[in-house]
Amino acid sequence: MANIRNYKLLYFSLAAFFWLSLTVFDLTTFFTDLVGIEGVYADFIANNLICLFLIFLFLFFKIEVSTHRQPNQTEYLWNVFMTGITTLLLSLFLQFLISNQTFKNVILDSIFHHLILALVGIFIASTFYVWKKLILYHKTSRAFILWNVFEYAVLFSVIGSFLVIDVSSLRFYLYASPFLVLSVLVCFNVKWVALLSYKEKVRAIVFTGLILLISLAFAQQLRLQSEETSPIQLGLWQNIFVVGVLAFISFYAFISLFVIVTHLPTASIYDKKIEEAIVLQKLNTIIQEGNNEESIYDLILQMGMAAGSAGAAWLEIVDEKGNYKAFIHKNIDKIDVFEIKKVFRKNHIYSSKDLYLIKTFKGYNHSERILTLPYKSAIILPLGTTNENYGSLVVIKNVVNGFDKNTIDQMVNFSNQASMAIKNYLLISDALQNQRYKEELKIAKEVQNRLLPKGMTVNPNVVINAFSKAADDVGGDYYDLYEYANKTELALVIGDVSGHGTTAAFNMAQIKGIFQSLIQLRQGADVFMTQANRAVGACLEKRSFVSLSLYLIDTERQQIEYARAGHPPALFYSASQQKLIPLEAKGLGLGILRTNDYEKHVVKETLRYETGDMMILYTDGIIEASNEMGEEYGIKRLTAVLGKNIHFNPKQLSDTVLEDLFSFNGRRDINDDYTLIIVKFI
Amino acid sequence: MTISTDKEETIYVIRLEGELDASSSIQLDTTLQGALSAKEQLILVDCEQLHYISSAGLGVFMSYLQDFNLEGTRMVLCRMSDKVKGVFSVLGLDSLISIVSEKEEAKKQLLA
Repeated sequence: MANIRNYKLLYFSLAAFFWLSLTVFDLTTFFTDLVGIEGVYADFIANNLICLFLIFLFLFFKIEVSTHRQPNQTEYLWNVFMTGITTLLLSLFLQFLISNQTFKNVILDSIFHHLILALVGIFIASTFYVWKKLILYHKTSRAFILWNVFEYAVLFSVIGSFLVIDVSSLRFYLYASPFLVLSVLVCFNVKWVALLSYKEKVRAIVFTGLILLISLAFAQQLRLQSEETSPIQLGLWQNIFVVGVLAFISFYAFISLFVIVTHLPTASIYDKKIEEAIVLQKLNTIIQEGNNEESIYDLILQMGMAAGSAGAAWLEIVDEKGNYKAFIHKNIDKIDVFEIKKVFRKNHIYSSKDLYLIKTFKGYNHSERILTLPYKSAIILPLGTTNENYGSLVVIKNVVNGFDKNTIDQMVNFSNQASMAIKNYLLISDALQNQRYKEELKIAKEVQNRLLPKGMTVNPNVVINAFSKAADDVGGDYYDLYEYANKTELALVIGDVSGHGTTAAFNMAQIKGIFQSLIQLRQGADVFMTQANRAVGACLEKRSFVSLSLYLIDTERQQIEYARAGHPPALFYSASQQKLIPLEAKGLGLGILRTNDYEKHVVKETLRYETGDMMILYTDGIIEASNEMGEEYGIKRLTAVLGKNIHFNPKQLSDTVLEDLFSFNGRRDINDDYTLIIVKFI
Repeated sequence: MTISTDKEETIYVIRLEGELDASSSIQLDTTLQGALSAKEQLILVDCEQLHYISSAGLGVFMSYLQDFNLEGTRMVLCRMSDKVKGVFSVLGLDSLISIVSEKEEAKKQLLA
């Protein structure tokens, strides 16, 4: 950017320098001419200086105009007009001073002539580049290339000023014809006109007309100037470049003027389309800005009234089931709305289906009361898409036959846009809602993870490794640990709540509460189950149940007391016998029998263990995991992999079992909650 | 899941075919509810074509145990595959629900 600004300054300085040089040179030659110097060389040098001045002036404006951004096209025209009128008035004033011999001073006159040259240069250079902006508005690559060719040709044509060409000769037209063709082609790029509103078009007509007059006035001034016989005139009228650019500027102004005038009759239609687009854009912006539902409905109501130029309206929004979500009314009482709706009902007019126009309420059944009110005609606009109904907008006017064809079209358009806006709003809020649910589930998952114990035991004689994973974010598998104060006894529990997902997770949380409170009572495993069954029956809904196994481990006496309530039997590994034994105690799942005779369905068993023995607990997710053929992993495969790797420590053994399970399953995941706990006594 | 019902003498026979999971358990619920409202006293559930039962399916059976007890209705399940029987027995439901291997045996038990 700084670079460009430097260039701009450089070009400006150069243009100023050459202009000054020209002035000084001309004055010098004027005086030396009196003492007799060859005029041909002087002309050559003067022409050179004019060319250089114009070239740098053009380059300066090329940058000046391109870096200056105007909000719209009429602003550009306004700028050109202002530059034009200022330069024209100034140059006319100077011309006036020269013609009237006000100062009777040849030096001053000569300076005035040079100032006029500068003013003409400024006008044609700035206008030329503003025209470039307009011509390349919404440019195509073809127009861009065409313009570049044209621009460089024009700048190059500056050297034409060196040739003394007879404008009336055939040769001149031969040389000039490519320029003419190019400029005509370039001049028909007037796309900017199409995007002007009616008002802007009117302004543009005024400005282009004035600019045309200004450039013609400049031409006239130059022509008149050339007729003077003053020895100090610069002969700009003979300068092909200046006259050519001036002609181009006038021609483009003329073409633009013509095109705008012919576009004027259709401008209002274009305005309407623009207005519709703006309405839609406004509606969409308000949605994206995260405004609440009410403000969107309010906007729809207001815009609907504006679209119909109506005095009153009401808007009803319904949800998918047809229940009212919103009702807003403006400039009409609720009681009158009900009165009009009653008329709709009695005349079988349903607002949710099709557009309906009431030219006058006269003649409708039960409309007696409305006829006394200032509501004369109405239009009912259903809001919705082909599949969905969002409600309706009813717009009312206080004149009979208040809606003409145009207004109805406009309102239909508006209702389509309003429907789209509502649809977008619903989509966005749905997306947000889903996002929120996902976040909530993430939190639930974390909370549930905290329900499962982190560290397993502090008892030095037991090593426990636990693994648990839910099919969804949250699940129904449960395991827990309770260590008694004497440090030699601990309780281990594993369970599975029926079902998956959030329901199961809620129930699992309840089971944790039940376990943590009952286990402190230090009762037998069977008594624990009986009481847990009662609690589960009271807490869980009728069809939910829980499978649970409880192991009360005493590391001092090396014994395990356990009860199994419908949970798959744990496997006990006896190191001395080198054998895996299922711990199949009789026991009914919790929550199945909600009467008092549960105790008959559960027993406790006791088992002694030795150092090196192990216990493997799991949930049905492990053994019921199936492969692509529908085969289940099953207890046999589990026993086999355990038997082969039983010498591993609990962590290694757990990893090996899971690896085997995944390779059987074919995926690294199972469509169920699954838990595996390995206990080793040391 | 297809559930067909039939009346063989005084016995209300329910035949289960396919997989009894969370969605199909609603059908079973409707069927059992129907039997309860019709005051059927003897219900035989033929599980020969039942390939799979989920916890939701078990939940339906178990939720009617108390109602059937109160109404004096007797229900026997028969011809279960080993897999399905395993699910019932692990949970301990076999101690609450009468499960036999042959249909004739089930009929005999109901009519006794």
